Amino acid sequence: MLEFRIKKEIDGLEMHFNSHIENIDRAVETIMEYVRTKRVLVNCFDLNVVIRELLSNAVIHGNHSDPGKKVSLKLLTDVESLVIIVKDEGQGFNPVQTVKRIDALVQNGMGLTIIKSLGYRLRYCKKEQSVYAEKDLQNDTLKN
Amino acid sequence: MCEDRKMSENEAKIFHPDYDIVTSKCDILKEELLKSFHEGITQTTIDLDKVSVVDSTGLSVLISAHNSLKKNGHTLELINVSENIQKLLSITRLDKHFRISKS
Repeated sequence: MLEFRIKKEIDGLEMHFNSHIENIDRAVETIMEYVRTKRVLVNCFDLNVVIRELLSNAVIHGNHSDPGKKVSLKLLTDVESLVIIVKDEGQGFNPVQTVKRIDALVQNGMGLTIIKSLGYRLRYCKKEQSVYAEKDLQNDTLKN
Repeated sequence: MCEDRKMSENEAKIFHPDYDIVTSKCDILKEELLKSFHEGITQTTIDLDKVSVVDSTGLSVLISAHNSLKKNGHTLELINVSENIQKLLSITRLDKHFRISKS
């Protein structure tokens, strides 16, 4: 049984789910529906990709696809910014060290580089064991 | 499912995935590609007309296919590539390696 819980807040939403890759699709669909409903002015393609990269990292690398381990995602939005916070049960990582210059045809390390190239700032909060991806919405290219 | 059409017996094949090439689904394409390589297919084209999103796991599948083809002197061709997917290929510099036709 795939556990998937959603909690809607005034300024965003929160999800908790098991480490199944099917839950990544469900989380993406939930967030896309939320930003459309709330008319958040964000590039939906970029957001879709960023959520997928963060959650794939959490499910596959953080939790090693162990269905007994949980992933949580929090999305916070206002008119100026969008913040995604992802927490898993892994050891954490340093996004500054992990993000490297893309060398085409090397298959590892692309996800975080893509996130940064799409204009999302990445940071890891060791205390919370969470990854933060932040986007200034005023400069985003709007393609909903 | 991956609908595919052979262009010429045992030489070329066009793949036409009707799903996004992302973590949850890219194994379907990976298996189809591996099967065709085992069958001796050399010219490989992937039609992205029905693909809206590709993530880094999906890109890894494309890189693996490209690397397998390159060993035999061939190149992976992507056709009907959307502006958004083209952007990802540019970020990852894969546009320098694959043959790409925009939609």
